Amino acid sequence: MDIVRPGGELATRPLHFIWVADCSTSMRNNGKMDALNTAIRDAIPHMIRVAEENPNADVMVRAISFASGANWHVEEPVHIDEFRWNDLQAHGVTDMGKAFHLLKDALKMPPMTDRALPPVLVLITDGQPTDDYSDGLKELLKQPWGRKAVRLGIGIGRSANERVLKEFIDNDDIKVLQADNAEELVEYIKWVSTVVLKAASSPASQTEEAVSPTSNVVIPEIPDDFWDDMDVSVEDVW
Amino acid sequence: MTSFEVAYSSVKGNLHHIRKLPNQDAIDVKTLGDILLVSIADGHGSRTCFRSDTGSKMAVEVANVLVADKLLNSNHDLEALEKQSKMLCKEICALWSKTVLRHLGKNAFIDDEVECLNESKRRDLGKNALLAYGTTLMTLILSKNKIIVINIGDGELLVKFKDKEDVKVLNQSKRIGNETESLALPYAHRYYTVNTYDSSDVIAILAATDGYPNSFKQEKGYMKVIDDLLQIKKSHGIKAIQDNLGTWLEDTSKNGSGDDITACFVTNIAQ
Repeated sequence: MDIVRPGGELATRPLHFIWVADCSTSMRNNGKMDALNTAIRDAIPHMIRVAEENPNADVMVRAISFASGANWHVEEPVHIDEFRWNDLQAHGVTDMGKAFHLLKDALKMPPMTDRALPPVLVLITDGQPTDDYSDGLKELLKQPWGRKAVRLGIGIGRSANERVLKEFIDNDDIKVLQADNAEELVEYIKWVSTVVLKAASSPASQTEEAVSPTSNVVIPEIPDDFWDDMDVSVEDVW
Repeated sequence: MTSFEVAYSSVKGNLHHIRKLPNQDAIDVKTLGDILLVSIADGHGSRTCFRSDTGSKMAVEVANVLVADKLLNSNHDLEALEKQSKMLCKEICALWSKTVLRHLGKNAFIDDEVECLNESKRRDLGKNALLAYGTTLMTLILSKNKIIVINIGDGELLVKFKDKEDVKVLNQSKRIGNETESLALPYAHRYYTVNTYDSSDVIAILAATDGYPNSFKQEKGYMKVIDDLLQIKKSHGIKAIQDNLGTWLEDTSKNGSGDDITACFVTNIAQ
């Protein structure tokens, strides 16, 4: 007997992955901007592979750039299969707070729904915020999905403000990823695009005691042998 | 003989098939004279909750045995049970904890289970070993006069009332992103909710784990399930629902949340 399945239209669960990239003038130095563009572009095939292994998560990607002001580099969520990376250009100061305000608006419900998987927010910066970032961050963390998002921070070079990245992450279990050369940046971008994306797309439930007070996705630690195959000379260091 | 007809199924989620994980949901349905007992549990399944498939099975068994015992001792007096519902929740939590700790006493954690956990997660587990077995639990006690629903966690209940178009959605959990209340939490009974209905007002109930509602694009798509099931029952009978439910749930998980899904559809034949 063939009876039609009860209920309305089915859908996999959306997982929003948002790059938040520093495009201040200092990113021009020592090829940092080029390295970031290359790293994100190269990560796309890896993200597609992870998405294919998690068919019940609908991975949608966006990007924010911040310098003198903040803008959506990719405003509408694009399915990872169709995502293309257009190079960011470096110009201006480091208005990180304005980027947090954009994030806050994007993570409100609506447009977000409560059936979504925790979003992944990746903040990449090489410097110090030049605006009131703390107000923007406070507003972001007031949003339920801002609070429950997986927030990762990548510092590029030694001038990156680790304290600000820690504040953004707000989770003792997740360390700031410090990239001191192009190879490290590529590896970290690949790691967040694969390992973290996979963890966030798992539908496993958590109790409040088993998770941090903020994010409810358990991010695997970077393995001890993570850098074993890397060949970097002193001149390559930012 | 109860005044209810019931169809239920529990299926392993699509992602659990892919990752070769067990179904972490559990269901137990019992009849006790004219009373129907249904317990549904959803083991959390995260790395820290690596024995949650065992924890959910224990939860449904503990709840139904305890409620059945209470009913037997009170001559099936649901009024008395309702008055003591808070105490009942406390007793379920206590008995589940005791059952888990007895299991743990005979089956200590092994390296394979904990080696993937970081220091902080191991500390969490050291402070509260129940986390490894963490689960939600919803128990329905249905008699011809009264329906009592006690719930901890993000299980979802749809209720179709007589003379009303709308379907009532009962999910007190306001958490998002797969975070839920749990039997494994300290003072878990404080997170329990209790709802009661007059049976004469209720046409049908659909109780399910969160993998079911999370599979629909919109909430109204999920709420449609109960109306569709009532139509199917009218045209094909409850057996057709029982025969097809597992296949429907597997299809739903595959094209929806990917999570394990457990659902129990109950109709009040007196209505």
